[in-house]
Amino acid sequence: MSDERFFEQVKSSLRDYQPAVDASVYSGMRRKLWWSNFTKLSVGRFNMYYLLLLLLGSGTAVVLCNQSADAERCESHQPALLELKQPESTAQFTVAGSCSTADAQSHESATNASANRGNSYSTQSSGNRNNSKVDDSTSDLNSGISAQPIINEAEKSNSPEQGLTSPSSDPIVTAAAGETTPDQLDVEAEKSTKTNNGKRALKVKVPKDIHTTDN
Amino acid sequence: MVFRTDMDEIKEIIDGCIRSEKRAQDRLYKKFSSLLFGICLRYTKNKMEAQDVLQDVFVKIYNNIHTYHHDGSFEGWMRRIAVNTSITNYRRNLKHAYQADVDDVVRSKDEPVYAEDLEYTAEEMMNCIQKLPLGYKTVFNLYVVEGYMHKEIGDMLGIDVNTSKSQLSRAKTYLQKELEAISKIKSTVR
Repeated sequence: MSDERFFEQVKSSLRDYQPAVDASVYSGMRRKLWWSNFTKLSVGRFNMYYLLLLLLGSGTAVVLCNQSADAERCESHQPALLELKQPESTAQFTVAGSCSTADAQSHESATNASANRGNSYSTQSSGNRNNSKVDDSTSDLNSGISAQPIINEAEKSNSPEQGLTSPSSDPIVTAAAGETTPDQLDVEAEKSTKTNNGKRALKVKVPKDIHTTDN
Repeated sequence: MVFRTDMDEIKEIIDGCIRSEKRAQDRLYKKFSSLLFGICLRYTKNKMEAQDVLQDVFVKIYNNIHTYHHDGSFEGWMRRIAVNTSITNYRRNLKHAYQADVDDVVRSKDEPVYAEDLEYTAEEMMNCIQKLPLGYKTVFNLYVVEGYMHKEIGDMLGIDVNTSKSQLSRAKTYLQKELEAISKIKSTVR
């Protein structure tokens, strides 16, 4: 048998060879076709480029919405904070106002005292005055009652006549307010030495028989 | 009464596939899947790979069916797509495939025996072809079944013309021996 004849024989046998195809091939082919259409750039049908655009657009929209929402929240919260702060500041202002009256009084007395004492004591008196302010606020916080008269008396007791110690002496100040107040209040104000931070702490001892004054 | 010819049916299927109609695509698949699967089997190592290539063939057909202009045989056009896809698959797997030497396959270096009446079926022939190394199988199929020349085969596969010739010769020798053995077994059974 020549080569040509052999080849013809093989060709005729293979040419019409049609084996059966599994059913699973069709589903796989459908999947491949879908994926091919999905990845193909085509205007007429939905594909991954449309999906990418959609995702990008929605992502950008979400980011922009979040940013604008944040900005709106910040804007809307700022007045609210101010409104919240406002009553607080007013309250502080009221407290400060009530203190300032006492402060003004103490300032007057301090001025008088410094005038009497001279320049050497002016620093100390102002220091005491400041301390008395703290004393005022702490007593206000602690008791919430009649801090002003106590401070006033304490301030009055800072006068040189009341035995104001020199700056180098013991900083603990005892204010015998009972001598001057009409209600015979006995207030001991202890001013501690400087703390480690360099700040001054003030301790106020209020006796149990303290009476409040309505006026 | 109007008789629909095979050509009319194919034209109808093609037009439906151009419009991406699923029904037409299914009809095309049913009509030609076996034929194209046979082609894919000849160029691949096993059935699984052939099924994979067949899927790719149909995807290509559906995606490029608008390029068919009815100027030739539609079956021939599909056959060409199947062969080209199989060759693409062969080239893709070339670096991973083990290329057996021709001496591993051809049992003896004797001259081929030309038996006058070899009895074998297409199935047996396919089994013999499947045993050939992928390169020999591809060259043999392209030359014998598809009718390409050695120069064309060399260009398609990226090999030398002489390589194509020698591979064809050794594939032929091997196949003849195998088919002769099959024929002998059949004759002794009778």
